[in-house]
Order: sequence, then structure tokens, then C-alpha cells
Amino acid sequence: MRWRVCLLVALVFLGGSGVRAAPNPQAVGRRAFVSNEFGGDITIIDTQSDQIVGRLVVGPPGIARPRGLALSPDGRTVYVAVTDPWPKRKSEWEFYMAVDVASGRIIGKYPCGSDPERLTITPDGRRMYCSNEDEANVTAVDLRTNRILATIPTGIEPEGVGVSPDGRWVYVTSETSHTVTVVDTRTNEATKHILVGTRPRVVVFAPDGKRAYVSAEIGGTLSIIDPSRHEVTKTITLGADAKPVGIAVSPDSKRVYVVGGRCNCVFVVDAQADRVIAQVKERMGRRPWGVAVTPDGRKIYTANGRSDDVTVIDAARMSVIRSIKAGRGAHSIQIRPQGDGN
Amino acid sequence: MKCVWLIVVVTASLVMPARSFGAPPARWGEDELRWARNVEKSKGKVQWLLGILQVGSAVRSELARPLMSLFEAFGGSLRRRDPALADDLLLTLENLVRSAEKGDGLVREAQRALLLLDRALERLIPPPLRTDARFRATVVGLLLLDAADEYEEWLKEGEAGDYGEGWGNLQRARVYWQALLPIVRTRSRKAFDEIQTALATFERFFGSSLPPSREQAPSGDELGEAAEDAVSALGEALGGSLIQRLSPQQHVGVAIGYLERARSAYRAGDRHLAVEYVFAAYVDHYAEDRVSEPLKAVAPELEKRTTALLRQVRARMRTGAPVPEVDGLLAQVLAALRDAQTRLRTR
Repeated sequence: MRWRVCLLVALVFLGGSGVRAAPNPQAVGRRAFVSNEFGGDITIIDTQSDQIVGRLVVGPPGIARPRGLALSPDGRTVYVAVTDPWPKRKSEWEFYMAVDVASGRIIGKYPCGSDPERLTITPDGRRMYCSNEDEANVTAVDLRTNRILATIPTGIEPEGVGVSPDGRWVYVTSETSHTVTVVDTRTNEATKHILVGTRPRVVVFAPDGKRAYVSAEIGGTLSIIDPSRHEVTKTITLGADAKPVGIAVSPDSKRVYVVGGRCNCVFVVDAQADRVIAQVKERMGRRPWGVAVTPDGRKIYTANGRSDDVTVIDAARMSVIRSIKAGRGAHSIQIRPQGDGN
Repeated sequence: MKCVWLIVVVTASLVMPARSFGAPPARWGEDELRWARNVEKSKGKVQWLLGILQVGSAVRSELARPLMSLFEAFGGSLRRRDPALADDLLLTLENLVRSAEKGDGLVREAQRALLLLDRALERLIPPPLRTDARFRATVVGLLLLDAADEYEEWLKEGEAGDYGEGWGNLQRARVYWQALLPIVRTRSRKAFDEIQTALATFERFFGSSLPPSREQAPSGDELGEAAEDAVSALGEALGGSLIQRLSPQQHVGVAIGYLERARSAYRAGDRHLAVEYVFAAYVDHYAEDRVSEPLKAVAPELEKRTTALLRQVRARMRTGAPVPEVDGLLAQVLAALRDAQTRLRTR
């Protein structure tokens, strides 16, 4: 098995001065993790000070390609989908990786299918689902044993994976079929394919579980799905040249933030009125792909693939506060839930 | 990421008509664009065959044969305008395929094909349109999107011809871009730089006419992004979106329109034009992610039936089947597509 091959993965935590530093346990709850797909590493940011507090080396830049990120519900473990840039090469760089947040120690690397791109963890922390773009399926993994439980067919080129807050449903977007596949986590079977906008990328459930949101990169839309019926209830047009990808929902489920890769902007959607109420553009980084909100809902962070940085936005004022240098090809960002286990 | 692009180009915007090259504002429809796109793709393909010969590689007949299928994409309309030219071009393409089989005379036939394809373009595309900046920019965008697509297809299936088509598209896009370059640079330096960067990315992926080892080939993500960047930048420089992407349901609507045109043409005795319309319906508005793949997800049986019917009608038209038989098949495929239109409805 490829994943068994010994991997030259190093773990380095760097302080602001570039000196190796142990992570501060008090600061663990405030961390944001940014995957850098071309840099082969993960940037760790303290979301209170907005300073870089560490860097996790996944593998050689340009070879190891970390993309999708997910945090365990207790915030103790970050999971990273890793692949390489050569789809047809047999490679050791094709696995998901579990990292202990407090120590920065790599817990392990495990298989989850071919070309893993994005992943999600169920709310009970027991299972992970990761999309396998090349194979048109999603893999369900038991995180206690790291064994594959099921491989579930999806549409063509699956990418975004989201789990409902009650853990019952997993939604998987498929770029070429323009669909969202509904997976019943009780049976690990696909129960329905929902047609959404053209080339759907990311799917995110609102924390209250009443809605799921799907971005469509080429369609330039945000689809709203009612998870109780698995039906699209509304589609919001963001613009054909916006190229929306990443989505984050505020903790109170009232606002949805969608990053536009082409417009270099963040659309702020009022989830009660279902309309765009603002567009943050000034001082934004280039080509934002990923977006996350702090647990208190006060700050929004975008991972910007072309400017290799993270933009920090004040959610109340809807304006950029600062930018933080990340690694090459910032792709995804996850913010750890605050106040729980170290 | 494999990306098959959903493309239909609408009538040129009148918001900012391009007056480049001294031409008056031009209007066009999808027909003109699919002719230009497919003639240019054919030229790119022929250039690729010459390209691989130049680097000492053999041209197998299966690499040349897709030219016959591409001819169907515009052959019927060309025949209506210039039957002699259509016959000449068809014969030359057949000779080219035969030359590839024999391993002799390919350069001569290829050069003649390029000459005739140029003439075909002149016959199909009226002069003001041929020099219209927005029209040319749209063709560049389509060729680059197709090239990115072909790269992904090659990576997935390993067919050298797919890589070759992408390589050829890039050569043709470059020619069009050279003529656009001054106007884009004048209008938007940012867009100009972005397009140049995108083309440089394409050059990296298509550095040689011969495909590299697939094991050494990077994923096409970057290429797809570069194509999208170029399309957006061209639109920004020339006054608005050039290419409109349709939803699967909208594609079905356009496909139905083409099939109705095919029925009329076939009834009127114009088999070549009917085949051309079925080509447009199937290749441009049904295959892969346009309709087939989403339909397969939501209604697999319907997709299977519709795909089989479309292939059958195309095959029967090619052989000149009787009108009632083709009429019957078309009635079935149209009913299936109307069903698909309902099944592909989204809110």
C-alpha cells in the first residue's frame, strides 16, 4: 500500500522570529490552519493576534499537495487531504493526515482513495468522508481504526464534502455532473443526486442544520438546499465572472460568506433575506479559494491562492483589517472551535 | 479536474461594439462561432500532424481520422455556400487520412487541407466578422477552453489525438491572439498581462507537439484556470462577457432547436446540413457535462435511451436512411429530450 511507504514528513513549529518554538497550549484554541498546496505545508495562525505561530511541513513543495482540511469536533485533531500534482503517477503522496493540534505531532497518514481533495468529519468525531476526484466516489473512514468503511459512488469529479450538524447526511458536490450527492450516513449509501449550478465546488451546512449552501464556480451561483427534503429551494446569482468557491456560515447561521476567486472578493449573503448585502473587495488578496469564520463570528479569514496570503476581515464592518503572509498556493482554511480541549 | 466546457455564445453585445481593424460593429450567432471554432480546430489538428512529422514521429491514420468527423461540424453549411469547395476539402481530408495509412504524401495533403480550410473560413464567415475583435476574442476563448479540456481528456484516456487537438487549438489561438494583441494592450494592460500569463501557462503544458509521458504530466487544474482567466480578461478588455455558460436544461433547449433544424434539412433533402445540426446538438449541447453526465445522475435510464437515440439518428442520417425512418427517430429523441428538460429543471 502506498500509504505504508515511509514518508519524509517533517514537523516544524516556527515562532515569529523563525526560531523553533513549542506551541503555546493557551493559544491552541485560537488557531487557524491554512493548507498551502504548492508550498507543501500548513500555516498556523493565532486568530487573536493574527500572527503566524507555526508551520507544519507536509512534504516537499511542488510534490506534496495539501488541500482540504477538517478539524475534529473537539478541535484536538486537524485532518489534511494530501495528494501530488501528477494524477497518473504512482505516488506516496496520496493520503489523509491526522495532526495533533496541541503538540503539532503527526498522528498518522492513512489511505482514503485516489486524489483526495476535500474532507469532512462527522459531529461525533468518529467518521471522516473524503472525496476522490479521479474515482467519482467518496470514502467513509472509521477514525478510530482508520479503516475504510465504504466507498460510495457520486457524480463525476467529486470535490466538496459537507456533513449535516446532526451527522445524518453527507453532501458531496460533483464538478462535471453539476450535482450534489446525498449520502445517508446510517447506510453509507447515496440516496439522491440534486442538480445545482454549473461546476459546484464547495458545500457547507449552516450550524443550525436548516440549510446547506453550494457554490457553483462556472454558474456563478450559490444554491440553497433544504436538507429536510434534499431539494434546492433557491439559487442566488453572484455573477458569471465571480467564480465562487469557498463558503463559510456565521455561527448564528444568519450570514453566509462566499469567496469569489475571480472577483477577488467576499460576498456577504443575508441568510434571512437570501440576498447579497455586501461585497468586500478593497485590500483583498488575489484569488481567494478558502474562507472561515471565527467561532465568535467577528472575523472572517480567506485563503488566497495567488497572493499566497490570508486576508482578515472585520465581519461587523465588512472591511479588511489586515493580511497575513501564508505559504505558496493558499487553498483551504479551518478555524479551531474555541474553548474546548487542548 | 477534468473540465468539459459548457459553451454557447450569444449574439455579440451591442454595449461596446468592437471597431477594431476599421470594421463596423458586427453581430453574430452561434452558427458563425461554431463554424469558426471547428474550422480552426481542423486547422490546428492538421498543423499538429505536420508538427509530429517534423519531430520525426509517425502519423498513424487514427490520428488523422477525427478530421473527417470535424468536417461534419461545418461541412453541410459549406456545401450550401460552395459545393465545389466542400467536395474538394472532403476529398483532400480523405486523402490525408489515406496518406497517413500509407505513410506517404501526408505533407502535401496537409498543406492543401490548410489552404482549403482557409478558403472554407472565408466562405463561412463574412469579412466584417472575420476581423471583428470581439468575435476573434471569443474564438480565442473557445479554443483555449477546448485545449484545456483536451489536455484533461488526454490525461484521463491517454489518447495522443486529444493532446494533439489541444496543441493545435493553442497554435490557432495564438494566431488569433497576435491580431488582437494591440487592441487588448491599449484597452487594458492588466487584461493583456493576464492573457499573456495564461498563454505562457499553456505553452508549459503543450511545450512539444508530442505528448509527454502521462506519469510526468501535471494535473490540468492550472490549465483550466488559465483558460478561464484568459476568457475573463478578454471579456474585460473588450467590453463584457464573451462566452455564456448554459445550464444543462438550457443546453437541452438549444439541442432541441438544432434537431428541429436537422429534421427540416433532412426532409428538404440536405443530408449534410442535417448531419451538421445533429453534430451541433450532440457534441456542443448534449455530450459529457453539458447534459449527458448530469442526466445520468438524476435519470440514468433516460440518459441511456437519449444517448442511444442521438447516436442512432446521426448514424442513419449519415447513410441516407429514408425520411420517414429518420423522422421517426427524431420524434423519439425530441420526446426524450423534452423529458430530460423537465428532469433537469432547477430552482
